Amino acid sequence: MRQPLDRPGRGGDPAAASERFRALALPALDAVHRLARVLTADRARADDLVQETYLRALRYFDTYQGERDIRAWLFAILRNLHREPHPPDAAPLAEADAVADPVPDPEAAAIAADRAQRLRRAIAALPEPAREVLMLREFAGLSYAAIAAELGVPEGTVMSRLARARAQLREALTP
Amino acid sequence: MICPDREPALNALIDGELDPAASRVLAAHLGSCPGCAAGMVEMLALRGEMAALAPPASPVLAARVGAALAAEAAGVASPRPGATVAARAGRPAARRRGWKGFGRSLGGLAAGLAVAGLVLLVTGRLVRPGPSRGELVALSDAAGRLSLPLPQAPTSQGGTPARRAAGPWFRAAGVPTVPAPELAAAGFRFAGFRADLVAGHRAAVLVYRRRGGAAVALFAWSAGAGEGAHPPRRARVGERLVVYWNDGTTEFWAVGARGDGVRDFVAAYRRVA
Repeated sequence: MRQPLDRPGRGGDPAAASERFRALALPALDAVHRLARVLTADRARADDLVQETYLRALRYFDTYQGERDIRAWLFAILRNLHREPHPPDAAPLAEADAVADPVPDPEAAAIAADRAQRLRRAIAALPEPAREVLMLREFAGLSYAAIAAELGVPEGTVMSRLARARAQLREALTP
Repeated sequence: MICPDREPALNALIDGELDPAASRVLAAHLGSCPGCAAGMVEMLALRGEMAALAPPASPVLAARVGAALAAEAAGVASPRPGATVAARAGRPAARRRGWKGFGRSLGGLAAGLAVAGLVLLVTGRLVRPGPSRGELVALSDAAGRLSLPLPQAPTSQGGTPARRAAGPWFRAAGVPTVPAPELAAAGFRFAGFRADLVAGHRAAVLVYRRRGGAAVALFAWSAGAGEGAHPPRRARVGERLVVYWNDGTTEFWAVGARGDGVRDFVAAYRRVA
């Protein structure tokens, strides 16, 4: 049976759908993880968010519209999950730190952490439309055309929102 | 200060979304507008910082997500966050750990580490201590903007870059005074020097061209206190190859297109300099 092109999650047996999902969604893992790490500074929480995003996406795969960029779809799921209340954090997991970024020395690490924190706050303080475009471009890696299609706005609007977002971040980071 | 009417185009340029004709117009403008040129350097530095903020997924996470999807597809009680082995056995205390649950499941952790071990074998270079992705992206961006007419060091009369002027100029610019040797015998012609801001470091930049035209850029900045000397190592950023080493006081980063003699350049530079 031919599966309809516009609904990759429809048709065939569940095992085949699951295989299609893996082939389509797993290459986006880096992008999803980047988005999660921007939404939360907590490494372990970001990893949990990524896993839950993939599980939920698999469950709702039959609702995925094929012409939509899979990263944008996963991002929408991730964002909804992030907004849901979650239990208070426990101690960080050793597993999550197994491949920690190399830290040269404590002072440099503290300065870098402070700057990263300011950048995170500046991103959080962006107006929603600007932040959304920035996230899709900078962390999910979508093209202007894909972002425009995802948000239902002209490419010119994508460009101006992106310019505004970056200008605001530069402003916020200037000492 | 970026010219307001150029700002969307500058963004499009660094995103690789500007068509060639508009790129040429903008490049010409950048050569005569220090405000826009400086703004673009800031924008590229910002992008490097954002890349560092959000690293790619670790092999451990990849293995964990893969295992969770397999379990879900197999119809096994899915190892969802919050559903730890202990919690399923009815220990409410464990359930409060909530989101951290799956990783604490011994079975899941063992399986994850086993797969991760396999992934590490294949992609070992991903987890060797080394530059952050942010630094690599910033370097690649910095190499990319070498083709743009940004403000740069003076050239000698006739437009030939004065190799011997590099040292004093670097000293005045407050960047490491790295040697700019003659490498013509090795097939690399000196093409210029400048100072640049890369991933928060003030860097000396030397540009050499191989016969045939491909450029190799060498960035150098003062090594951090905790960074020990090490021999050349390699990393790939898209189509670019980065070869980096540390001589104990300075970090060197040679960047060029893959397969375009970056390694030959590094060997020649280290031999002569």
